[in-house]
Amino acid sequence: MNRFPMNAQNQSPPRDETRPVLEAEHLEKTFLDFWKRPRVKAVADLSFSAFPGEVLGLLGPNGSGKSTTIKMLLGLLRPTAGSVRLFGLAPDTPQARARIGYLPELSNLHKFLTPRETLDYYGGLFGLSSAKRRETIPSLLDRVGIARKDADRAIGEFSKGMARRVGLAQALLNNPELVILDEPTSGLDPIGRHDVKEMIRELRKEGKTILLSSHLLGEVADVCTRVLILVSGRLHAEGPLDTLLRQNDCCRFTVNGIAPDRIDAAKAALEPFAPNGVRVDRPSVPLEDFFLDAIRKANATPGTQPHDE
Amino acid sequence: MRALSVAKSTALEGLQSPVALLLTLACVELTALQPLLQLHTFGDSVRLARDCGLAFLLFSGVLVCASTSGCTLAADLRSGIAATALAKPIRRFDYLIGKWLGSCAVAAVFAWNALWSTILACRTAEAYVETARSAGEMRDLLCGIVSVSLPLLALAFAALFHAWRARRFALSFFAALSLLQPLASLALLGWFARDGSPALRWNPAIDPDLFPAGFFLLLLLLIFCAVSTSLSVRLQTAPAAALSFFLLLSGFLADRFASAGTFGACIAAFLPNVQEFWLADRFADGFACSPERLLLTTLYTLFYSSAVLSIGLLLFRNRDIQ
Amino acid sequence: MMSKFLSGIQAGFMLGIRAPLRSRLVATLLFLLAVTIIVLPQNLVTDGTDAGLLRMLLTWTLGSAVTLLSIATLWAGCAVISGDIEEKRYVLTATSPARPFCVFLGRWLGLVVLNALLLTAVLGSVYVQVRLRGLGPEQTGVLRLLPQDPLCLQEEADRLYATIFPTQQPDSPEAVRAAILRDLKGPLHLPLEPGMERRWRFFLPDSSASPEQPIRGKLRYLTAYGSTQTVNAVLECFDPDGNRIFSQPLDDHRGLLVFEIPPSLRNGLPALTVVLRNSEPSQSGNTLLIRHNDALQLFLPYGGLARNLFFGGIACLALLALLAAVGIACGCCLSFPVAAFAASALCLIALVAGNPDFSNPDEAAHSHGTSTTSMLAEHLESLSRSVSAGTNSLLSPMRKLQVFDRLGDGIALEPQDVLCAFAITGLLYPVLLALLSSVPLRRREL
Repeated sequence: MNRFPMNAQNQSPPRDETRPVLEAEHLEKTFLDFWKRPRVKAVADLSFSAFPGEVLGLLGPNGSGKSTTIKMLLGLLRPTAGSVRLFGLAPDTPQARARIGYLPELSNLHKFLTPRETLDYYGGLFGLSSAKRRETIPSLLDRVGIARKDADRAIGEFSKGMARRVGLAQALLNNPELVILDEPTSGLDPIGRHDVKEMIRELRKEGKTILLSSHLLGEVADVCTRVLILVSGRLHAEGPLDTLLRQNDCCRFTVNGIAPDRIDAAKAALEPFAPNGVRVDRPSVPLEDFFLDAIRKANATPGTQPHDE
Repeated sequence: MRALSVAKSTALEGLQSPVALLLTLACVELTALQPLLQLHTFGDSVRLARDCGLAFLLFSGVLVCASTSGCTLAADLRSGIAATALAKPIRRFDYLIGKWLGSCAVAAVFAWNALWSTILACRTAEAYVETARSAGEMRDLLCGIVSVSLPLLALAFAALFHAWRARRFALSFFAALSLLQPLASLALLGWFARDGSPALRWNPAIDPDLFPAGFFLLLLLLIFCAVSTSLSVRLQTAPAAALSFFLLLSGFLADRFASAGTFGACIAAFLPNVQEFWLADRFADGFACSPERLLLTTLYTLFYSSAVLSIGLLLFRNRDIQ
Repeated sequence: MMSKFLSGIQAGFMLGIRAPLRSRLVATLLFLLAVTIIVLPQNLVTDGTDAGLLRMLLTWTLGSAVTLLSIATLWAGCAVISGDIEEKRYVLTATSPARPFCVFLGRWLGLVVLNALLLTAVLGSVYVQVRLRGLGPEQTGVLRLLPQDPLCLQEEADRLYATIFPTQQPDSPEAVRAAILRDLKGPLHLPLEPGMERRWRFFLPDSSASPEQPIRGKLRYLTAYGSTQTVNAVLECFDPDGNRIFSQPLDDHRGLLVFEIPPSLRNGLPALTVVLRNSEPSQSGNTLLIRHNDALQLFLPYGGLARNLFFGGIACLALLALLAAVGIACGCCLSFPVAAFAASALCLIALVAGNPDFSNPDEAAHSHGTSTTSMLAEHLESLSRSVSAGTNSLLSPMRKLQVFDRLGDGIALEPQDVLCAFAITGLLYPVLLALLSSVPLRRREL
């Protein structure tokens, strides 16, 4: 297996040469109508694998088959053709499911339960002992940003983002080896999104495998090591992010502290080496970084209190 | 105008819900089968068939009203669809009236089919027939077989349209059944005698009392459409259905409450007097419904429904829509 | 492994308790139960007797409440899994390692416990109402039905065969014997012609149980001439040695003879043989008609109302547990409205199948002289027999109990019968349904 160089932000641990965590071979899913006639071919001849420590991004336009693929990986839908193996097992076996955490795109939770009761319920389904659940749940709620005072409120009273955080917590309840996240930041504020990305990075450092499906390309670029791009149910592109995004026919120099009156001279010096021209611009900070920096500064300023929602 | 738009979408949605289809199918088939399975009739087969059919119409109809309101109003409020609609320039009053009218349309379609099934059942039931060849009690087996087969035929038509033209199954079923039953009734009852022999000229011997009896029950169902619409503003389908049935059963006791003192009379004033809508026996005894009686009952229906919908509007006006 | 298994069930159980409690369904149910148990009896008219009042409270009121709970449990069961699937809540449960069987059992257990609590409230309020109405232990005392010796039926069949065929044997004697035995066990009224007699043998409990209490008996019969003329018949009791210890002539026009055997005559007897003899002259034609299997019942006083209500509650809970399991099973395969419809239809068929007219339409038709049966009715008749036989054999532990009739009549519910019915109907069948339903639930696409 070849090693792929990573960029500075997305350093991944060396790829394990052991068997992949997830294997999908020639997956196909055709939805039938009531009379068993083929109606929609959602996924066609899809093959890919995921290895330990990877963050695999699943991208594609609406209707490209991302959610269908994820459901087939989890055994919620039966493939029309092809096979899926999770940890070398069939996806619908309890042994495989005990090692997975899943956050669906629409994580409708029981609205009459509190976050604590919700996690207690799913912890029971994972077979965690009551002592283990009592130990894990409070720290997990803290980790996803659910305040103690909200832990005993009914989920029906929560905003979409708060409910999403509870959904994220249940996906991590069993300390899974494979985490499948479908639009994990949907409904979250920028701080929440940042926290989720940090969490994904931490999970990767712990050696977990993450499969991330998202429409927010910025997020995928920030955390993923490898991406799959689906179009109309077929795999259109696949590979490490830096390899896919690299523009091999140009390079960028970042010059710090150059005086404004020397810029033209520097440009003129480079022009003989660049037949297609040299472009000079001032780099900008990503909006998210600017926003988070502003929040951090505001919180550090005395007299500015955060508001409860 | 806006209320009519809401009514149209409610009616379409209500007719396509599995409950409406299953209840209509069950009601029509049970009504059709009942005269074929009668054992203890004591000469009252036709009356039994009539009363069974109308009873199925009433009880299944209340369930249809409750389930339609549940799946169109309660579900919309819960899922956020109502929020999308109410964000448009429509008053909550118009929205609620539209939902009621839509439920009424579903109840009317149901009642139409149940009534024609009752007409066929009365013809199927055992009755004394004297012909040149024989005389005695006999069932009209041809009518019985046709009436049992009609819903199945409607299902087959709906399946065909669904498979061939991708038409919506439930709507096709209701359309087919609503046409097939009256046509088959008029043809069968008109062109064939009870013993199965062809008639010399078209003479449909339909019991005329069934139409006003069915109409009065439809008026009662309109009241229960209002009740279930108002209840669905705050309750889910199951509690709304339970309370609707409780109100129906209490309504049967309304005249007893009325004669049980002041407190009972107060309770009776709030209950729908169901006995006033169950007139099958009176029609059979020669009672002729005067236009004044019809007008008064219709006005009672409208006033009672208005009162119930007013309560529903009060509950709806201050309800937070998620 | 076992702890994960139980953990899954426990998780489903806690959810099964919390979700209905926090929805408005339970509140609505409580309101309707309160109306049924408290308001409804105030408006019903009894026959003015204590027995009539007790019957109304125990049979009608309790029966209405249990009917309401049954419908609510059935439909709530249908909504449990199907509602979660439709609302997309079941996806997270489906992707957990908990087996569908455990999920089913957990949610089922939650409904059962909820029903147990509601049933306790219902029974408690009925008991309180009985006491508030001034019905004391004297009126609410419970009688125990003495068991018949099953061998006696075979002996009776042999004796009748010998009476009918004293010399000449029929072509197939075994078939005739079997037919006589079937008739004795069946629901038909059989003639007791002048000069003939019928015998029953009853086991008596240890004389230390209720030593001061008389044995009470009821004999139900019909006469050929109805209420216009009594029959010269006599009911006699014999000890195991053949000594007659009691005798009572039939003198009741209503077809019901009530009698008491004084406690002094019991005297530690292990069994009692009862003989009913038609003493009419042979030419009179005055025949008695009796349903042999349940015409004669002997009772001993046995405990109070509270004990009987307790066992009645367990029997009702078994029924509710089965209904919950049927509802959840239907919900595993179908969407909620279709599941509710299918479950309701199944229960209606099971209910109707227990009706003797449905299971034995021949007798119904003959006894009421219905003029014609259509071809369709004949074909449906054989179907109804099969369905009825199957359903009745499955539900026989529950049907045998006759809970509401016994509660209303003040007849004791036997603990072993109740516990057997609970084990089969309330535990075994739901577990089987859970196993069966786990297959479609696992294969269902979400």
